[in-house]
Amino acid sequence: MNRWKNFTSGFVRENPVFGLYLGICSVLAVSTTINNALGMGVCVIITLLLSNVIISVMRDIVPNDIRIPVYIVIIASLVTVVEMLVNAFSPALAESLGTFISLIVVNCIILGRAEAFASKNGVVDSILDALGMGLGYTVSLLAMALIRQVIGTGVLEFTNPFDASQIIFSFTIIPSDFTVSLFSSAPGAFLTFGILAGLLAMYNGKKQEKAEAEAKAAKAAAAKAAAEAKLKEAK
Amino acid sequence: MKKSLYLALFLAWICVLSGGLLALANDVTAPVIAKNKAQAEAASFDELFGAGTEYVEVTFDQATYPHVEKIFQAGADNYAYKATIYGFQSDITFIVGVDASGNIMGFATLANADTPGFGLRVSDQEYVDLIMGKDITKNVDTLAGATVSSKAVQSALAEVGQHYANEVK
Repeated sequence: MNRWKNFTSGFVRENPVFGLYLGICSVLAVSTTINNALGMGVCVIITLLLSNVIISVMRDIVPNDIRIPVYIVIIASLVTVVEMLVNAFSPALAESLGTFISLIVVNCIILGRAEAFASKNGVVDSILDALGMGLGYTVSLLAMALIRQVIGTGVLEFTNPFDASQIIFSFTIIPSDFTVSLFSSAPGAFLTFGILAGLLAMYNGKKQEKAEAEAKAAKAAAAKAAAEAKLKEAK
Repeated sequence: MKKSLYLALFLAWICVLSGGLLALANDVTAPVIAKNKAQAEAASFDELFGAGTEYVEVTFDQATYPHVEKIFQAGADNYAYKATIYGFQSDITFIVGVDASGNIMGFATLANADTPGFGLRVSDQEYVDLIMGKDITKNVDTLAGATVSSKAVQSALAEVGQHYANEVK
Protein backbone atom coordinates (compact mmCIF):
# COMPACT_ATOMS: atom_id res chain seq x y z
CA MET A 1 0.00 0.00 0.00
CA ASN A 2 2.74 2.36 1.04
CA ARG A 3 4.76 1.46 -2.06
CA TRP A 4 1.76 1.96 -4.29
CA LYS A 5 1.19 5.36 -2.72
CA ASN A 6 4.85 6.22 -3.25
CA PHE A 7 4.54 5.21 -6.92
CA THR A 8 1.34 7.16 -7.59
CA SER A 9 2.25 10.30 -5.67
CA GLY A 10 4.13 11.59 -8.75
CA PHE A 11 0.94 11.59 -10.79
CA VAL A 12 -1.30 13.95 -8.87
CA ARG A 13 -0.43 14.76 -5.28
CA GLU A 14 3.24 15.49 -5.91
CA ASN A 15 3.14 15.87 -9.67
CA PRO A 16 6.69 17.10 -10.39
CA VAL A 17 5.62 19.60 -13.04
CA PHE A 18 2.29 21.05 -12.03
CA GLY A 19 2.55 20.30 -8.31
CA LEU A 20 6.19 20.87 -7.41
CA TYR A 21 7.02 23.14 -10.39
CA LEU A 22 10.17 21.15 -11.17
CA GLY A 23 11.72 20.85 -14.63
CA ILE A 24 9.45 23.50 -16.11
CA CYS A 25 12.09 24.92 -18.46
CA SER A 26 12.11 21.82 -20.62
CA VAL A 27 8.35 21.39 -20.29
CA LEU A 28 7.67 24.84 -21.68
CA ALA A 29 10.19 24.41 -24.47
CA VAL A 30 9.53 20.95 -25.85
CA SER A 31 5.77 20.61 -25.36
CA THR A 32 5.02 21.76 -28.91
CA THR A 33 4.27 18.33 -30.34
CA ILE A 34 3.40 15.00 -28.75
CA ASN A 35 6.41 13.50 -30.55
CA ASN A 36 8.77 15.80 -28.67
CA ALA A 37 6.87 15.32 -25.42
CA LEU A 38 7.00 11.55 -25.55
CA GLY A 39 10.66 11.52 -26.62
CA MET A 40 11.67 13.89 -23.84
CA GLY A 41 9.57 11.94 -21.33
CA VAL A 42 11.25 8.66 -22.22
CA CYS A 43 14.72 10.24 -21.98
CA VAL A 44 13.89 11.62 -18.54
CA ILE A 45 12.42 8.33 -17.33
CA ILE A 46 15.54 6.40 -18.42
CA THR A 47 17.89 8.92 -16.82
CA LEU A 48 15.84 9.15 -13.63
CA LEU A 49 15.54 5.39 -13.32
CA LEU A 50 19.28 4.77 -13.78
CA SER A 51 20.34 7.62 -11.52
CA ASN A 52 17.92 6.60 -8.78
CA VAL A 53 19.10 2.98 -8.90
CA ILE A 54 22.82 3.86 -8.90
CA ILE A 55 22.49 6.44 -6.15
CA SER A 56 20.33 4.17 -4.04
CA VAL A 57 22.86 1.33 -4.38
CA MET A 58 25.70 3.67 -3.43
CA ARG A 59 23.87 5.49 -0.65
CA ASP A 60 25.82 3.80 2.15
CA ILE A 61 29.29 4.30 0.71
CA VAL A 62 29.04 7.88 -0.59
CA PRO A 63 30.57 10.25 2.00
CA ASN A 64 27.99 12.80 3.05
CA ASP A 65 30.32 15.78 2.44
CA ILE A 66 30.67 15.18 -1.30
CA ARG A 67 27.35 13.55 -2.09
CA ILE A 68 26.15 16.37 -4.38
CA PRO A 69 29.27 16.39 -6.62
CA VAL A 70 29.08 12.61 -6.80
CA TYR A 71 25.42 12.77 -7.84
CA ILE A 72 26.19 15.41 -10.43
CA VAL A 73 28.98 13.35 -11.99
CA ILE A 74 26.72 10.30 -12.13
CA ILE A 75 23.74 12.20 -13.55
CA ALA A 76 25.82 14.10 -16.11
CA SER A 77 27.39 10.87 -17.35
CA LEU A 78 24.02 9.17 -17.65
CA VAL A 79 22.53 12.10 -19.54
CA THR A 80 25.49 12.14 -21.93
CA VAL A 81 25.03 8.44 -22.59
CA VAL A 82 21.30 8.97 -23.23
CA GLU A 83 22.12 11.85 -25.54
CA MET A 84 24.58 9.74 -27.53
CA LEU A 85 22.02 6.97 -27.87
CA VAL A 86 19.31 9.38 -29.06
CA ASN A 87 21.72 10.94 -31.56
CA ALA A 88 22.64 7.54 -32.90
CA PHE A 89 19.28 5.82 -33.04
CA SER A 90 16.73 8.60 -33.38
CA PRO A 91 18.35 11.50 -35.27
CA ALA A 92 14.95 13.08 -35.95
CA LEU A 93 14.19 13.29 -32.24
CA ALA A 94 17.72 14.55 -31.52
CA GLU A 95 17.21 17.32 -34.05
CA SER A 96 13.85 18.47 -32.72
CA LEU A 97 14.78 18.28 -29.04
CA GLY A 98 18.19 19.79 -29.68
CA THR A 99 20.02 21.01 -26.63
CA PHE A 100 17.17 20.09 -24.30
CA ILE A 101 18.43 16.52 -24.14
CA SER A 102 21.72 17.62 -22.63
CA LEU A 103 19.82 20.03 -20.41
CA ILE A 104 18.24 17.05 -18.63
CA VAL A 105 21.39 17.33 -16.50
CA VAL A 106 20.01 20.45 -14.87
CA ASN A 107 16.45 19.16 -14.72
CA CYS A 108 15.66 19.55 -11.03
CA ILE A 109 13.56 16.40 -10.99
CA ILE A 110 16.61 14.16 -11.41
CA LEU A 111 18.86 15.72 -8.77
CA GLY A 112 15.82 16.42 -6.59
CA ARG A 113 14.75 12.78 -6.48
CA ALA A 114 18.36 11.66 -5.98
CA GLU A 115 18.78 13.91 -2.97
CA ALA A 116 15.27 13.65 -1.53
CA PHE A 117 14.50 10.02 -2.16
CA ALA A 118 17.11 7.67 -3.64
CA SER A 119 19.84 8.63 -1.17
CA LYS A 120 17.60 7.62 1.74
CA ASN A 121 15.64 4.64 0.41
CA GLY A 122 16.20 1.12 -0.90
CA VAL A 123 16.59 0.14 -4.55
CA VAL A 124 13.04 -1.17 -5.09
CA ASP A 125 11.47 1.95 -3.60
CA SER A 126 13.80 4.14 -5.65
CA ILE A 127 12.81 2.35 -8.84
CA LEU A 128 9.14 2.91 -8.04
CA ASP A 129 9.81 6.53 -7.20
CA ALA A 130 11.69 7.05 -10.48
CA LEU A 131 8.93 5.40 -12.52
CA GLY A 132 6.20 7.34 -10.73
CA MET A 133 7.94 10.70 -11.02
CA GLY A 134 9.12 10.02 -14.58
CA LEU A 135 5.65 9.00 -15.71
CA GLY A 136 4.17 12.01 -13.90
CA TYR A 137 6.56 14.24 -15.83
CA THR A 138 5.81 12.49 -19.13
CA VAL A 139 2.04 12.61 -18.63
CA SER A 140 2.23 16.32 -17.75
CA LEU A 141 4.35 16.98 -20.81
CA LEU A 142 1.96 15.02 -23.02
CA ALA A 143 -1.03 16.90 -21.63
CA MET A 144 0.62 20.22 -22.44
CA ALA A 145 1.73 19.03 -25.89
CA LEU A 146 -1.72 17.66 -26.71
CA ILE A 147 -3.38 21.00 -25.95
CA ARG A 148 -0.70 23.08 -27.66
CA GLN A 149 -0.39 20.94 -30.76
CA VAL A 150 -4.15 20.69 -31.34
CA ILE A 151 -4.93 24.37 -30.72
CA GLY A 152 -1.73 25.63 -32.33
CA THR A 153 -1.63 23.55 -35.50
CA GLY A 154 -5.05 21.90 -35.61
CA VAL A 155 -3.43 18.58 -36.47
CA LEU A 156 -2.70 15.80 -34.03
CA GLU A 157 0.18 13.88 -35.56
CA PHE A 158 2.57 11.24 -34.31
CA THR A 159 5.51 9.98 -36.32
CA ASN A 160 7.75 7.00 -35.72
CA PRO A 161 10.63 8.37 -33.62
CA PHE A 162 13.08 5.97 -35.29
CA ASP A 163 12.03 6.87 -38.83
CA ALA A 164 10.74 10.40 -39.26
CA SER A 165 9.15 9.68 -42.64
CA GLN A 166 6.76 7.11 -41.15
CA ILE A 167 3.61 8.75 -39.82
CA ILE A 168 1.81 6.58 -37.28
CA PHE A 169 -1.35 8.67 -37.06
CA SER A 170 -2.46 12.10 -38.15
CA PHE A 171 -5.88 13.62 -37.48
CA THR A 172 -7.02 17.05 -38.49
CA ILE A 173 -9.09 18.25 -35.55
CA ILE A 174 -9.38 21.98 -36.14
CA PRO A 175 -9.56 23.43 -39.67
CA SER A 176 -6.45 25.47 -40.37
CA ASP A 177 -8.47 28.73 -40.49
CA PHE A 178 -9.37 28.40 -36.81
CA THR A 179 -6.06 27.48 -35.22
CA VAL A 180 -4.39 29.79 -32.71
CA SER A 181 -0.72 29.80 -33.58
CA LEU A 182 0.02 31.59 -30.29
CA PHE A 183 -0.19 28.16 -28.67
CA SER A 184 2.77 26.91 -30.70
CA SER A 185 4.99 29.70 -29.38
CA ALA A 186 6.29 30.57 -25.92
CA PRO A 187 3.30 32.57 -24.59
CA GLY A 188 1.03 29.63 -25.40
CA ALA A 189 3.30 27.41 -23.33
CA PHE A 190 2.98 29.72 -20.33
CA LEU A 191 -0.80 29.98 -20.74
CA THR A 192 -1.29 26.23 -21.00
CA PHE A 193 1.03 25.64 -18.08
CA GLY A 194 -0.77 28.16 -15.89
CA ILE A 195 -4.18 26.72 -16.62
CA LEU A 196 -3.14 23.13 -16.00
CA ALA A 197 -1.22 24.01 -12.82
CA GLY A 198 -4.26 25.95 -11.62
CA LEU A 199 -6.58 23.03 -12.29
CA LEU A 200 -4.32 20.67 -10.37
CA ALA A 201 -4.09 23.10 -7.45
CA MET A 202 -7.89 23.38 -7.43
CA TYR A 203 -8.25 19.60 -7.41
CA ASN A 204 -5.69 19.17 -4.63
CA GLY A 205 -7.27 22.00 -2.64
CA LYS A 206 -10.75 20.48 -2.90
CA LYS A 207 -9.38 17.13 -1.84
CA GLN A 208 -7.67 18.68 1.14
CA GLU A 209 -10.82 20.59 2.09
CA LYS A 210 -12.77 17.38 1.93
CA ALA A 211 -10.22 15.59 4.09
CA GLU A 212 -10.28 18.45 6.57
CA ALA A 213 -14.06 18.46 6.69
CA GLU A 214 -14.04 14.71 7.24
CA ALA A 215 -11.52 15.05 10.04
CA LYS A 216 -13.63 17.77 11.62
CA ALA A 217 -16.77 15.66 11.38
CA ALA A 218 -14.97 12.71 12.93
CA LYS A 219 -13.71 14.92 15.73
CA ALA A 220 -17.19 16.31 16.35
CA ALA A 221 -18.66 12.82 16.38
CA ALA A 222 -16.03 11.70 18.86
CA ALA A 223 -16.72 14.69 21.09
CA LYS A 224 -20.43 14.00 20.92
CA ALA A 225 -19.92 10.37 21.84
CA ALA A 226 -17.72 11.39 24.73
CA ALA A 227 -20.30 13.87 25.95
CA GLU A 228 -23.04 11.27 25.73
CA ALA A 229 -20.94 8.81 27.66
CA LYS A 230 -20.34 11.44 30.29
CA LEU A 231 -24.06 12.15 30.46
CA LYS A 232 -24.78 8.47 30.88
CA GLU A 233 -22.23 8.22 33.63
CA ALA A 234 -23.78 11.18 35.42
CA LYS A 235 -27.17 9.54 35.23
CA MET B 1 43.86 16.01 5.96
CA LYS B 2 43.36 12.29 5.73
CA LYS B 3 39.65 12.81 5.29
CA SER B 4 39.92 15.32 2.45
CA LEU B 5 42.33 12.99 0.69
CA TYR B 6 39.79 10.20 1.00
CA LEU B 7 37.02 12.45 -0.32
CA ALA B 8 39.13 13.56 -3.28
CA LEU B 9 40.06 9.98 -4.11
CA PHE B 10 36.44 8.87 -3.82
CA LEU B 11 35.28 11.58 -6.22
CA ALA B 12 38.17 10.80 -8.59
CA TRP B 13 37.20 7.12 -8.56
CA ILE B 14 33.58 8.01 -9.43
CA CYS B 15 34.86 10.16 -12.28
CA VAL B 16 37.02 7.31 -13.58
CA LEU B 17 34.04 4.95 -13.58
CA SER B 18 31.86 7.55 -15.33
CA GLY B 19 34.59 8.17 -17.88
CA GLY B 20 34.75 4.46 -18.62
CA LEU B 21 30.98 4.37 -19.09
CA LEU B 22 31.12 7.35 -21.45
CA ALA B 23 33.95 5.84 -23.47
CA LEU B 24 31.97 2.64 -23.84
CA ALA B 25 28.83 4.50 -24.96
CA ASN B 26 30.88 6.58 -27.36
CA ASP B 27 32.43 3.46 -28.90
CA VAL B 28 28.98 2.05 -29.55
CA THR B 29 27.30 5.21 -30.84
CA ALA B 30 30.06 7.17 -32.63
CA PRO B 31 30.08 5.13 -35.86
CA VAL B 32 26.27 5.21 -36.06
CA ILE B 33 26.20 8.98 -35.50
CA ALA B 34 28.90 9.57 -38.13
CA LYS B 35 26.95 7.45 -40.62
CA ASN B 36 23.71 9.35 -39.88
CA LYS B 37 25.48 12.65 -40.37
CA ALA B 38 27.06 11.69 -43.68
CA GLN B 39 23.73 10.37 -44.89
CA ALA B 40 21.89 13.55 -43.93
CA GLU B 41 24.55 15.66 -45.61
CA ALA B 42 24.59 13.63 -48.80
CA ALA B 43 20.78 13.50 -48.89
CA SER B 44 20.73 17.04 -50.27
CA PHE B 45 22.96 15.92 -53.14
CA ASP B 46 20.61 13.08 -54.08
CA GLU B 47 18.38 15.73 -55.60
CA LEU B 48 21.10 16.39 -58.20
CA PHE B 49 22.55 12.93 -58.79
CA GLY B 50 19.65 10.62 -57.96
CA ALA B 51 19.24 8.36 -54.95
CA GLY B 52 21.82 5.67 -54.31
CA THR B 53 24.82 7.65 -55.57
CA GLU B 54 28.00 7.03 -53.62
CA TYR B 55 29.77 10.09 -52.29
CA VAL B 56 33.43 10.34 -51.41
CA GLU B 57 34.53 13.48 -49.67
CA VAL B 58 37.35 15.37 -51.39
CA THR B 59 39.80 17.32 -49.25
CA PHE B 60 40.71 20.79 -50.45
CA ASP B 61 42.48 23.92 -49.29
CA GLN B 62 39.88 26.00 -47.48
CA ALA B 63 42.09 29.10 -47.62
CA THR B 64 42.21 29.11 -51.43
CA TYR B 65 38.49 28.48 -51.81
CA PRO B 66 36.99 30.30 -48.81
CA HIS B 67 33.34 30.02 -49.86
CA VAL B 68 33.42 26.32 -50.68
CA GLU B 69 32.32 24.21 -47.72
CA LYS B 70 32.33 20.64 -48.92
CA ILE B 71 33.36 18.80 -52.05
CA PHE B 72 32.26 15.26 -52.85
CA GLN B 73 33.07 13.05 -55.74
CA ALA B 74 29.68 11.72 -56.78
CA GLY B 75 29.78 8.39 -58.55
CA ALA B 76 32.57 7.85 -61.09
CA ASP B 77 33.37 11.30 -62.47
CA ASN B 78 30.81 13.86 -61.31
CA TYR B 79 31.57 16.36 -58.62
CA ALA B 80 29.30 17.91 -56.00
CA TYR B 81 30.12 21.23 -54.34
CA LYS B 82 28.47 22.86 -51.36
CA ALA B 83 29.19 26.55 -50.93
CA THR B 84 27.96 29.47 -48.84
CA ILE B 85 28.24 33.13 -49.73
CA TYR B 86 26.70 36.31 -48.34
CA GLY B 87 24.00 37.58 -50.69
CA PHE B 88 22.04 40.77 -50.21
CA GLN B 89 21.09 40.38 -46.55
CA SER B 90 21.73 36.76 -45.67
CA ASP B 91 23.98 33.81 -46.32
CA ILE B 92 23.03 31.82 -49.38
CA THR B 93 23.98 28.14 -49.17
CA PHE B 94 23.76 26.15 -52.36
CA ILE B 95 24.85 22.88 -53.88
CA VAL B 96 25.99 22.49 -57.46
CA GLY B 97 26.74 19.38 -59.46
CA VAL B 98 29.43 19.35 -62.16
CA ASP B 99 29.53 16.57 -64.74
CA ALA B 100 32.57 14.92 -66.30
CA SER B 101 32.95 17.58 -69.02
CA GLY B 102 32.80 20.46 -66.56
CA ASN B 103 29.21 21.55 -67.18
CA ILE B 104 26.71 22.41 -64.48
CA MET B 105 24.32 19.46 -64.16
CA GLY B 106 22.28 20.65 -61.21
CA PHE B 107 21.87 23.54 -58.81
CA ALA B 108 19.80 23.96 -55.66
CA THR B 109 19.84 26.44 -52.80
CA LEU B 110 19.61 24.98 -49.29
CA ALA B 111 19.31 28.28 -47.42
CA ASN B 112 18.46 31.72 -48.75
CA ALA B 113 16.74 34.49 -46.79
CA ASP B 114 17.27 37.35 -49.25
CA THR B 115 14.47 39.66 -50.34
CA PRO B 116 11.38 37.85 -51.64
CA GLY B 117 10.74 38.72 -55.28
CA PHE B 118 14.35 39.78 -55.79
CA GLY B 119 17.29 37.93 -54.22
CA LEU B 120 15.09 34.96 -53.39
CA ARG B 121 14.72 34.39 -57.15
CA VAL B 122 18.17 32.78 -57.11
CA SER B 123 16.37 29.81 -55.55
CA ASP B 124 13.79 29.62 -58.38
CA GLN B 125 13.69 27.25 -61.34
CA GLU B 126 14.28 30.31 -63.57
CA TYR B 127 17.83 30.64 -62.29
CA VAL B 128 18.50 26.90 -62.44
CA ASP B 129 17.40 26.90 -66.10
CA LEU B 130 19.63 29.90 -66.75
CA ILE B 131 22.85 28.26 -65.59
CA MET B 132 22.07 24.60 -66.36
CA GLY B 133 24.56 23.03 -68.76
CA LYS B 134 26.90 26.03 -68.66
CA ASP B 135 30.64 25.55 -68.34
CA ILE B 136 31.54 25.92 -64.67
CA THR B 137 34.99 27.31 -65.46
CA LYS B 138 33.45 30.32 -67.22
CA ASN B 139 31.39 33.05 -65.58
CA VAL B 140 27.68 32.21 -65.51
CA ASP B 141 24.98 34.81 -66.18
CA THR B 142 23.40 36.89 -63.45
CA LEU B 143 19.69 37.48 -62.92
CA ALA B 144 18.42 40.91 -63.91
CA GLY B 145 16.62 42.41 -60.92
CA ALA B 146 18.39 40.20 -58.45
CA THR B 147 21.84 41.56 -59.12
CA VAL B 148 23.38 41.46 -55.65
CA SER B 149 22.26 37.95 -54.81
CA SER B 150 23.02 36.43 -58.20
CA LYS B 151 26.38 38.23 -58.42
CA ALA B 152 27.29 36.68 -55.07
CA VAL B 153 26.27 33.25 -56.29
CA GLN B 154 28.14 33.90 -59.52
CA SER B 155 31.36 34.64 -57.67
CA ALA B 156 30.98 31.55 -55.50
CA LEU B 157 30.36 29.51 -58.65
CA ALA B 158 33.49 31.04 -60.15
CA GLU B 159 35.39 29.77 -57.13
CA VAL B 160 33.94 26.32 -57.71
CA GLY B 161 35.00 26.62 -61.36
CA GLN B 162 38.50 27.55 -60.28
CA HIS B 163 38.74 24.50 -58.07
CA TYR B 164 37.39 22.34 -60.88
CA ALA B 165 39.84 23.74 -63.42
CA ASN B 166 42.84 23.54 -61.10
CA GLU B 167 42.31 20.33 -59.17
CA VAL B 168 39.97 18.14 -61.15
CA LYS B 169 40.57 18.73 -64.83
